Amino acid sequence: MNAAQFEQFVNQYEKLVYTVCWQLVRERETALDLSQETFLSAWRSIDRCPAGHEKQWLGRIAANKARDYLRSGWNRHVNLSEDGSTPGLELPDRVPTPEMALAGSDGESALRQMILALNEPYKTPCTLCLLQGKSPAEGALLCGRPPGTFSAQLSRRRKMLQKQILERRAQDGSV
Amino acid sequence: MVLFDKKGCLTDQALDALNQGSLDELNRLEAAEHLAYCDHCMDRYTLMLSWQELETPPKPLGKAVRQSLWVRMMQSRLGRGVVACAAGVLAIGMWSSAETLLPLSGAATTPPERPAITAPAPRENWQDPPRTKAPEAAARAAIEKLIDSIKTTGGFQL
Repeated sequence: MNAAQFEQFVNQYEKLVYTVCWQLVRERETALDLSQETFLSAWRSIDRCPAGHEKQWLGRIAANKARDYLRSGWNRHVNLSEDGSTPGLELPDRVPTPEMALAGSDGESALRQMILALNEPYKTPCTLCLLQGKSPAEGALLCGRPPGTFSAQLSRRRKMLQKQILERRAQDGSV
Repeated sequence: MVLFDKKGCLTDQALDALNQGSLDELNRLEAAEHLAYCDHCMDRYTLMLSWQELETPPKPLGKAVRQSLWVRMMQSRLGRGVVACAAGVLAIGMWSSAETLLPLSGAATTPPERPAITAPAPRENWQDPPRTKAPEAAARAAIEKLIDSIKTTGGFQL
């Protein structure tokens, strides 16, 4: 595909790509930047675009761009937050992991219950790694998710579990 | 709202919510993570988008993408040009430094001194290596053996 043909390709699918980016990030300027990045990535690997599935192929690239943007934004937002109002607040280093915090006696069964009560996409990674002791690489392979996504989901949920445990302890202490 | 079903795929409700903009940031991140690898859900999502009016970007993307591609291509060519220039300058520098340094050491003007060649030892002192058997005698013996075998067997002995 030459440059002129690619420009036609961009004109044909720009609305679709922009809509995917906009619906995922909900910021006009960011969606525009991500759409542009999507087409630049598409140009580099245009030979791998499956004929007849251009929409899905471009949609996937756009979703990848939006995911990376949201993931970095989420991490920044979680790490910089200082008040307890933000969901997924980063906890101080002294705070033990959920497994350590609830180790022993009733703790293990409490952790098991918390994990089994989770919804997807977190239930499978947490069950495989926190309850069955699989490594993230093994877990990703078993549930058919990309290793990066699997690890990100596990890490994010782990932080949320830590927060839940702290809240539960605070409630128990106040009562 | 249930975002994922038991198989781990996005529910219809989640896709509608994504379309209507009612998902929060975390849910949008989870949806983006899933759409980035699940072909089935991406098919459903693009099909859903094909039934509705799509958003128009505030600026046309074709021109912006073309400009970005051009800038990247020029950066790449410029980078190669800079590397080529640096290599040329380095080569010229090395060549000129060799030109200036070699005459100073005297290596280029006067050839190095060669060791003197001594006369060979007299022929009487030479020793021939020991010979086991003369080649003519060995060949003659082999031919005689062959003739004998023809006489006794009436043919070649293999």
